[in-house]
Amino acid sequence: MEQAAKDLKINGIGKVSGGTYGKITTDGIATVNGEVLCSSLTANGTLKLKDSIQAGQFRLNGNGSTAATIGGGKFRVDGMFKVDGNVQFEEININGMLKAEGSAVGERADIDGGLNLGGSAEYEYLKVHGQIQVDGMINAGEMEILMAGPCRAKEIGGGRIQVRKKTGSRFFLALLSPSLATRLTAEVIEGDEIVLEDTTAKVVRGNSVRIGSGCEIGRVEYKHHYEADSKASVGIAEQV
Amino acid sequence: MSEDLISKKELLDMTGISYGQLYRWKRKNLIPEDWFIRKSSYTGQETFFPRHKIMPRIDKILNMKDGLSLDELADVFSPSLGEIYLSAGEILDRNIVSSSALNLYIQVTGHSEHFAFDKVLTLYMLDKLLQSGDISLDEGQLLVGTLEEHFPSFAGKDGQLMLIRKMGVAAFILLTPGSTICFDQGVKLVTTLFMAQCTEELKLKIGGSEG
Repeated sequence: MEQAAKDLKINGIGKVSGGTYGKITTDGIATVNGEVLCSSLTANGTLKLKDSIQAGQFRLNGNGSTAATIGGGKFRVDGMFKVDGNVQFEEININGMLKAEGSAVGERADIDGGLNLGGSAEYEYLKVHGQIQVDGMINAGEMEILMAGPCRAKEIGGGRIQVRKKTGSRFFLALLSPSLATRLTAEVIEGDEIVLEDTTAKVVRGNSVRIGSGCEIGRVEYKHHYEADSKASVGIAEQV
Repeated sequence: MSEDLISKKELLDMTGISYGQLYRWKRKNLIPEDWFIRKSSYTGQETFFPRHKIMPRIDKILNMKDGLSLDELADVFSPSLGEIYLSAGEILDRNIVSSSALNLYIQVTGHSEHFAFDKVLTLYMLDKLLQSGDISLDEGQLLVGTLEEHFPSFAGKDGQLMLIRKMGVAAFILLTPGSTICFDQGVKLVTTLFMAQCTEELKLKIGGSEG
């Protein structure tokens, strides 16, 4: 079946139906109606998918959208992509913005810019430089966030959690409205090793917890180690 | 209906696992999302688990994780049916079900060649009930008929099989997860089998006898 799959090329404005393909390359404005299974998809310009896609490699330069769930091996976006379903690639690399109504699940995520999810984010390794806004939960084995904008999640859980703020970001915007300030807001943060900066959370629980400057934490529960910056506000810290 | 719950904190203390491990297992679907029961307490949000489900699961994960990878483990716990085909000979050789259960099944369905996983599961449930003495061979025929007819609509779901008796007459009931059922007073509930649990046991049995 795989040998028989044909390659597809669109230059200019084109519309194709779904199906099984080898390599798909589009330059210009491409619309795909129907489910697609392909070894690779490279799109330059605008890409519109009306249904789900499974791709070994998916690379987009420009902007695109899909009405369903996308998944496969590697996914790289330079620009902006909007998904109505879930994002299920093993590896994602976003330079720009990825917005999904559903959840993003995989092994590795490297975000430079923004990740905006209606569901949850689940990765073994998650690195964000910019902003991450998740309605559900961020669950990552190792998580590094360097904030350059407002970040939020309902719940954060994982092994190592590190949140820092990029220096000097958005100082004037923060004066205009607190919701534009560069900080992380979450209800609960739980992990083995937690390092936070400029974070608002009701509860932080972990083996080792380091609360940095600008944090407002209601309650910290720790097992082994706890440390708080003098410029942080912590309601109660308790060893459990 | 209140379930016996255990808080996350208590769970981690009792089992000695860390937050990182727990979240990792959740990511790998070793612990289903709907076992995480979030409640707000005066100390902030706390997560609770159904005690009688989570404790044996964690025990199993801890005991088996050295031999199997997390992905393989996830496969064991998943209620979905694997792609396995076994012949009648293999089923008997590997001691998966007894020969009386297999004979009964073949007698009812006339199917004796290759058994897909759902067929083996039916066999396994039949054998379980026969071995425990809860049903007679005649009732076994009824069970096989019921499962053969309705199993497809329950595939991959954590359904329940109930056996009831009223005035000595047996009846089988298949239930979807989360549904409630009430009986009149004359009904005796003999036994309940959870399909996900049977699937898990069967997968371990098949996997175990392979290695």
